[in-house]
Amino acid sequence: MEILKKIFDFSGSPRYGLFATGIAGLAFLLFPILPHSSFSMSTIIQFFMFSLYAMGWNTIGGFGGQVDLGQAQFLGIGAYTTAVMMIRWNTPFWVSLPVGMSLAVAWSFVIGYPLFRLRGHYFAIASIAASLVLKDIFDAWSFVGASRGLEIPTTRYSSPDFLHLIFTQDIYYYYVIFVFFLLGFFFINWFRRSRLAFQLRAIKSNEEAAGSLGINPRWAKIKTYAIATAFVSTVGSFHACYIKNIETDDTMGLDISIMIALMAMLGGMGSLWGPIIGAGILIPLKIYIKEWLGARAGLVGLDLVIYAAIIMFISALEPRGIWGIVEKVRRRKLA
Amino acid sequence: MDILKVRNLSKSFGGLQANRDISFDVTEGEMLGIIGPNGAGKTTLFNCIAGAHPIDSGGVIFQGKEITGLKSHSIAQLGLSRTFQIYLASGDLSVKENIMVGCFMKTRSRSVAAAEADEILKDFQIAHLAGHFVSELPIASQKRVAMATALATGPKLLLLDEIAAGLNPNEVEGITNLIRHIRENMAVTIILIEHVMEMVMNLCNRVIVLDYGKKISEDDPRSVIKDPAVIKAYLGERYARQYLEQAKK
Amino acid sequence: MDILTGSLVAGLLIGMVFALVALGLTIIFGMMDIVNFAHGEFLMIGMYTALIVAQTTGIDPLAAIPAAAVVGFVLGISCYYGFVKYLLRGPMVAQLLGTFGLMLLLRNLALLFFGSADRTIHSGILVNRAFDIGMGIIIPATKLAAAVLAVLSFAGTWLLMNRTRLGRAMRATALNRQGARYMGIPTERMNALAWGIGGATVTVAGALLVNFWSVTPFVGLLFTMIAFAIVAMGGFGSIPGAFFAGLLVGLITEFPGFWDFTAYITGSSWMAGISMTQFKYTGVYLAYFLIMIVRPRGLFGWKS
Repeated sequence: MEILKKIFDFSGSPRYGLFATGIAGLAFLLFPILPHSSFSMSTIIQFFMFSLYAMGWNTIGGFGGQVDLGQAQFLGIGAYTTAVMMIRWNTPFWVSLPVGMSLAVAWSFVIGYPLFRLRGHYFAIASIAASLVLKDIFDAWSFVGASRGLEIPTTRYSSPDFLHLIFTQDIYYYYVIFVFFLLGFFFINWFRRSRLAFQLRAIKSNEEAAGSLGINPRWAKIKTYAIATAFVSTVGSFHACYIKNIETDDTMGLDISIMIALMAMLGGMGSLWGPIIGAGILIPLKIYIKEWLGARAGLVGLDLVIYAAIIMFISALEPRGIWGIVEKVRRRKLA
Repeated sequence: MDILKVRNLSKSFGGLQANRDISFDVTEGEMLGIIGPNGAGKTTLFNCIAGAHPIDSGGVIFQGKEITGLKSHSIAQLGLSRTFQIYLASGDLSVKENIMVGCFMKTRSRSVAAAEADEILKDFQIAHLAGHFVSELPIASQKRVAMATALATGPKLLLLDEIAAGLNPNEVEGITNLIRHIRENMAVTIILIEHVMEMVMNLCNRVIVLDYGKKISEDDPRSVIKDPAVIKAYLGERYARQYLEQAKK
Repeated sequence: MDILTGSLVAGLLIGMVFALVALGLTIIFGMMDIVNFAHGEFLMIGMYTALIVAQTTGIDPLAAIPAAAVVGFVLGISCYYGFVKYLLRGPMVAQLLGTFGLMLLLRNLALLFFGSADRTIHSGILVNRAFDIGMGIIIPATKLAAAVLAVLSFAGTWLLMNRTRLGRAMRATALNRQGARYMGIPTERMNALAWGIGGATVTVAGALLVNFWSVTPFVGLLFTMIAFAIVAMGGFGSIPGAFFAGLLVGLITEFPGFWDFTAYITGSSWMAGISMTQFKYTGVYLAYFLIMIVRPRGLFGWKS
């Protein structure tokens, strides 16, 4: 009972904020029925996906204070598990999803135990190292298609196939990921008031003092890491069914890991809304810049130049992210 | 019953011997003071007992259990709590949230932790500070929060490290009363590291003196301050001799 | 047998160049605790500088090294004053992401200006020459020259840091910033110099590599990771550590040779069946991970 109360507890947020969110939620619910371009729908789908990635990252990166730049490896585990199981054994999505999640979480324990001996830069670089090792292994492993990747044969299924999550029309994918998004959102709302989140905040303040209060820092971080990887691998599995064509560069590369971390950072680490805001800004930005600039022959790379400039700008000027600014303003109003 | 037994504890850092062969027992319910000049190894001793540093040799037995070599969180979970000289630095947790972290050691439920924290806030007379960030508070209040947090874990033994440091005489009196209140109402054995002598005199039934890592005296407070070895440690050889000759006259 | 010695020699030679690559990173990190994701991009810029200077002026690529050094120095200092200075005020995550942004920026500017095609050097006094040092080992002159020049540059930088007044000022700043300020050392300028020297050394390494490594705008990331691994293994901030770790990493990248050798002498067919060449750099990442777990301070590090 108490858990249910915590999931829906928004007591910290102002009324108008909740109202605005409610409106936005309704808008998202109705969007596919209203006239729209397929481009904007796929943008919103990606927004939901990356919000989830960033929300997952935020548990260990924001609340936990350990900047992980290797989350893409778990995306890969989720995506490849679903793809392989579907291609070889026609496994329903709803079965391959938990399998992928279990593998991802298991892997997170394997590398997490040694990894959380480290902190700061060392941890960040080690997380990159681990994810690149896994990527290299996948690149050489024929079972997962090596560097060519895998393709889910859509001809085998007739849309709409809810069991295998194969649809010809994006609207179905939209609602599925929207539901995941809501689940993730409420989960984080519960998480941020949970005992584990408190422990993480204490650890972030002063790890030694946290230990003297009975908190086992390493174990708390490992548990949180597992939660983050569960989020990421779930969306990874979805990614496989949505994109249908997966390869290591797209799913397990460093660029994706960094983008995930960046969204949470831009929006505001350690907050509920931060990752969503971050994804809400960066995904449309990236897609639209690419659309306007990237395709032109002489200007390949310009879109990323602009993107990079934005990243540099934010990190130099407001590292606490947009939600950090919001909080600052609110606190000043209260004082 | 001895709640704590320290046996031949030694700890060195590189070439520096911080604790040398220290042994003492602590009876349940007593208030033990640890004094000594700066650099005598008092905080190191606390760190060793609480598991923050690995011990070179010797052992610590808490409530009949050997705790040598255990990590600090395990020792805390067994009922041994401590405060730090420099408190939780971050502005991220409010006073109430800090205390809740301590409460969370015994409960998984947030509402239970919050309720307990409210109780403790009232008990320590800092309920009006519940929503503030610790780093924004004046020092005396910070010390209260530190003690409240340590006690939120419900320990049987509490180590207080220079809790009166930086406090003016009024505040020292306040803290002294608070410690007395805790001792009477919470069935906690307390060990104090202190430089403020009046606190030691008023509160402790027994005092241990450390100098250069060794235990040089152990007695009740009034006797300890008359011990020539202790006087020498604080004043140095020359002035100690002068003082003692004066005292004889 | 020649596989073994061949791999050993090749590993040590490339290791010396890797050491130079990592040198700049360890100097910068020792000075101000910032991890520069764009480090490999500086190398890439060094490569393009040497390439373009050689191709437009017709001089030998080796002679273009000073040009690369100048470019690297200027680039480093500009990056510091123009951007990194502001990052230092923020939390670590902002620094990581900020230098990552810098990396994307430099990489894509290069892509914009130079296109994505592979480029290689075709002329020069050392190209197509090789030395036969016996035991069936043939060393391309380009690689030997790169190794020798790398060691010289390394030694030169070491002398700068340890035997000059400037170097001592820099090391003082690295050890205790506040104390250095009390001594009248302009620490901001020391920071910028660290970036300048760090930038110059890695662009020189790029100019050395260009003789036998093909140049694309994407070459940077691999070298950034190699540099990270070397600096972490050798100890963040330690210059001698960077040298020995560089050699070690060089040898690690030659482990396919050792693998084949072991397959050969043990007659193991499963070993011979696996080609380890695709895992050349995986070994580096793995070694980094393992060393960090076992000895986070690195082999010689003084900062942890």
